[in-house]
Amino acid sequence: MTTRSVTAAALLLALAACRGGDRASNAAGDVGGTVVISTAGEPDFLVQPLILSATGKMIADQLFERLAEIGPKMNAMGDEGFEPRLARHWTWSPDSLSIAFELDPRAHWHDGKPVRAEDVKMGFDLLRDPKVASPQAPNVAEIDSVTVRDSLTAVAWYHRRSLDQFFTAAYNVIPLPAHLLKNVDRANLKADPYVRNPIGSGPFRFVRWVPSQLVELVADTTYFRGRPKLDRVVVSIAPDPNTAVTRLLAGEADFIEVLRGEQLAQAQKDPKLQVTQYGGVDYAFLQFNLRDPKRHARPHPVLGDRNVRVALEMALDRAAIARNVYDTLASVPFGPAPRSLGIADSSIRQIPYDSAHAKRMLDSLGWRDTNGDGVREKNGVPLRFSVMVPGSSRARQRVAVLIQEQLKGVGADVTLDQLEFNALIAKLGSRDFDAVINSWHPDPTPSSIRQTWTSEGARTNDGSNFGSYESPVFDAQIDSAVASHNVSQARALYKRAYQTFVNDAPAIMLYEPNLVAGASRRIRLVDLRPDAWWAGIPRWSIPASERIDRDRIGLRPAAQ
Amino acid sequence: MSVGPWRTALRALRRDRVALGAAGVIVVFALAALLAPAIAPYSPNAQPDIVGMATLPPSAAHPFGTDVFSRDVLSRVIYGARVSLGVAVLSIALSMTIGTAYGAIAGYAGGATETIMMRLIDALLAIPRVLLLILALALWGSVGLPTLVLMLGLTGWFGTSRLVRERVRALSRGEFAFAARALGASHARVLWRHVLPNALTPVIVAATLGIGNVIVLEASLSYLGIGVRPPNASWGNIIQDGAEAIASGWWIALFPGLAILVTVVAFNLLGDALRDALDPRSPHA
Amino acid sequence: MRRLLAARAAQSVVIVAVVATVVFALIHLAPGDPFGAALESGKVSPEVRAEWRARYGLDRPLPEQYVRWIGSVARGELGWSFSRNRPVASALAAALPNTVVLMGTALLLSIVLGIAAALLQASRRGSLLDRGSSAVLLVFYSMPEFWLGLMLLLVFAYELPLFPVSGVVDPVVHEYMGAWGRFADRVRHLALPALTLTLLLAAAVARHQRAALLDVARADFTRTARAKGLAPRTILVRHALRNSLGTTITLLGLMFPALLGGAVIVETVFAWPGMGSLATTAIAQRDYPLVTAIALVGAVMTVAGSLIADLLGALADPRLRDA
Repeated sequence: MTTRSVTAAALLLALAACRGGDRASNAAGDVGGTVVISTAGEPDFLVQPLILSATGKMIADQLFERLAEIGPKMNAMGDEGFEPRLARHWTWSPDSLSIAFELDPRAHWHDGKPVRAEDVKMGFDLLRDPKVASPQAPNVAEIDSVTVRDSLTAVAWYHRRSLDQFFTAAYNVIPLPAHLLKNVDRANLKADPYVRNPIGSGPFRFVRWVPSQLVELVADTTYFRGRPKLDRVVVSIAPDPNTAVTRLLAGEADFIEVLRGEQLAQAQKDPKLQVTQYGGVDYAFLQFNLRDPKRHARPHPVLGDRNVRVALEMALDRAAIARNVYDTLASVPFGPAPRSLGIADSSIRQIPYDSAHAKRMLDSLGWRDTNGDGVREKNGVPLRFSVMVPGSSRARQRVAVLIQEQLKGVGADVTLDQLEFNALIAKLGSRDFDAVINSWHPDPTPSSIRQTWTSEGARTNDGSNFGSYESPVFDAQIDSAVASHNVSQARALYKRAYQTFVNDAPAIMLYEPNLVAGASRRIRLVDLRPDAWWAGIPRWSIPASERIDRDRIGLRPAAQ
Repeated sequence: MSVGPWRTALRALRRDRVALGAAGVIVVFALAALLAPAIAPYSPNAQPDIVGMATLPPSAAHPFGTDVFSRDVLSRVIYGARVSLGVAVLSIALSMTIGTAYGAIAGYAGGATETIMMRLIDALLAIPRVLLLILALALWGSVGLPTLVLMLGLTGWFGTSRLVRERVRALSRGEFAFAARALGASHARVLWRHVLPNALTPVIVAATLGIGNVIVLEASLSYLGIGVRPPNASWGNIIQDGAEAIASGWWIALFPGLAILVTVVAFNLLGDALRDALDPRSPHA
Repeated sequence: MRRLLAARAAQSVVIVAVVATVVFALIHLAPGDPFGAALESGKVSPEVRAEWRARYGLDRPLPEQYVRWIGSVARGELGWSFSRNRPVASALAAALPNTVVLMGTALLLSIVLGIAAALLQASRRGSLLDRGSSAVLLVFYSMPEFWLGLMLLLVFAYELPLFPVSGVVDPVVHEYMGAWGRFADRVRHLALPALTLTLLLAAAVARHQRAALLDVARADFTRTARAKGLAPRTILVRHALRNSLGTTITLLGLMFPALLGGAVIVETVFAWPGMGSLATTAIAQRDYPLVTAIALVGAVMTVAGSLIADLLGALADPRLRDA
């Protein structure tokens, strides 16, 4: 199967799931209603330069509009498929080192002021200013500056040409109201009143934020691209994923982004609920530390050997593991990138499940159980290592227990370190661990792999290549893919790099969940994008005939 | 002189049918824990078929059903008794030892030493134990069984030290200790031979009631996700495994929960009976 | 009496200081820091993290941080909460009322229920009712809080959907209701968590109160009253109850921290946004200022609780009152 047809199949699936919504969308009487979105965990911030949490990003995307939106094919290379938002038009300079964005003159802030080129510059400057110390700053590192050509034209200037140049400015730089932020104390942006009461340019206005309870948004009826169908979006904050799901099952909430296992089965049986698959970009893996955790200069005594890692991978029935945790709703990844990005596919050769072969391989490598305790040894070193797993993730804990038992079958002794999240992060940062079950939620652009798997991310203490996989071959292949100007050539280079990765087995890819959202049947869901299910919220609707009490509040403000 | 009350107490207990029943239940659970490998029908950690045999309801082959990993719940509850009872007994032994020593020293020393020692206890008692444990367990990344026992023991002795200190203070200022000192006995000897044995009766009662408490506490910690480390089975741990499958696999959480309830009720009944027997003024008798 | 109060107050200040110091030391010694979670996103650069640490003084030696913290607390500044991204004072202001409502309701109901149960038992001592209810109370007394909470949820929120599963108020409709509607909404949400805490606490109160009642029933003055020909029920209520109430109130004072601990668990089960859930997330995210502030508030509550209990106990018990 080719890349394109995989993407197309995923797309068809998503479309099929939301078909009802598309049909109903133009019918009269579907304006109005409230959607309660159940989330686990509090959003951190609602204003882009400060946001790290997914919930914060989801809400900010309703409040703020970007220059252009990534299309349904999720292509982040070049500008193909991007749809105009605040920018109605864009022009590349002849040398491709700058892009001029021409703003839609109808666009305005929720306080009525028009959106101007200086707002684009403000958005970029706050991201870049060291005083703000934005966690998002690396996302715009390729942009040198943003300048104002005239009141409706902003120009982004780049250090060099690259395939995700357009994506970087159009998607990652979110314009912010310069007239409100001109005099803000940037070092204390977090404490500024604007941050608690954001005024945006998007389809929804901010109403209130009650800590640990909810964030309420209401439709902006004057939004320049047409008001959203819903009157109101309430984000209901649960302290943990389990509670978040029970709120949906109890009818107290209308939507949750992910359901799995027993709770999914329950939702499927409930006549008031609908479930929808929409892919996803997360992938989970068992990452090995290739370096000795106590003395980083030396390779890891057990896991430093590529052949041992390959044998361990052969000992794992990854399909059964995915099946146990996610039933049919997860697949084993092809490489260090999810299927939905459209690059990794079945043409990448995998290490098969064959525990008999794994045993023979370990025998021939000199790992034998000489003392009869069920654990192999070599030169007095037992085939033993610990696997860290965060106490906060039930899915990963479950996988850990499955892996432990399967590796025991080939004579490898795994101890489970169920760590509190912060302790785990501290150990990852100091590289003080043997192995960890982790997962990534990558950006739509494949170049984000640099931070997680190349030498660049291994060398600094705070980089995210925690296992110190340093392969000059892999690095070079990624570098040339990132630098390529030709989309199909870039894809081929990425694929070659993924193959190198799979062969070296610095991590065993475990599963990429095919996410399933749960929602009240009365909601017509539109466009649950794999990387951002919330992208279509402004087009979600509730038919008048199916409304319940909370849909009939209308646009009026809360009684105080 | 310390033999008298014990003998009467034992005699009273022997006539108390409720106490005997409770003791019987505890013995049964303790035996199950000790003989786990002999009575458990399966290995507690074996995963025979993670796709086909996960979350099976109770049947003849698996009287308590199987869990989400296809493991036999009955075997895990039996092995879980080992961990839950073991952790509780060991940590209570530790906290009673520390509490008795601390309380005895404070009570016998008196004066400023006693005041400072007891103020510290007041402060430590003011922190909810669950929060203190969450805080203390955050110090360790991963919690092995020895660490868990240590932590439960180290956070459980404050109340005991208060009890002991009161008794020791009363006893060491009593005529008997005074006489012993006058006869030339050393402080340590007076404390060890004469004061402590008489101060121990409330400790025994507190320990018995405390075991039930610790079993519940360990289960609660597991519920919060910071208890016994998998794949080890403890009762709290099995409930946690079952909590997410409660709608489709109620048996996973139900049976270990019942085990906790029965055991804790038994320990509390025995503790009540012991207190009544050791303290003849008590209205329960 | 006044000197006693002054001494108790001084003692209370010491307790609060020790608690705050112990908690400060524990949370700072734990591995990780408030910005650890930023690492998982794989994007935050080392420079940015270093900048964050410097800004909040986390790069300084621990003793210096301790002194600075004492200084700012003395000035009434509790600092910035990293996990809630707002001033610590505002995070506390959002959570504290919820916990006070939950604990207050449970405390009140359990005292009334517990004492009523004890009176009933003591008046029919040895009867089937006495023994049966003792057994039921013992079962509740032995039950893990989270288990009881889960069972109540299963029965009254899932099987018979009478009550909401979590939260303090309805997230949407509450703000758009009238005064009565709002009150009813609050009561519906409070019912299950308060019931869980009440059942457990009432069992403890009743067990203790029954023992105290029977204890007093044997005292001399009760015997005198009986000799005077007063009805047993009158004796029980007029004499025994009044004389035994003091010990129960003292017990509640001592149990205050345990009650707070129980609230932590119950708040977790019912997703009640109070101090307990605030504390668990603050500890997990190494939110140093918030953790220490919660410890301060908790210690003040505990100390105040035991002071009030002592005072009430003294008022209730004539023997103590005269002392």
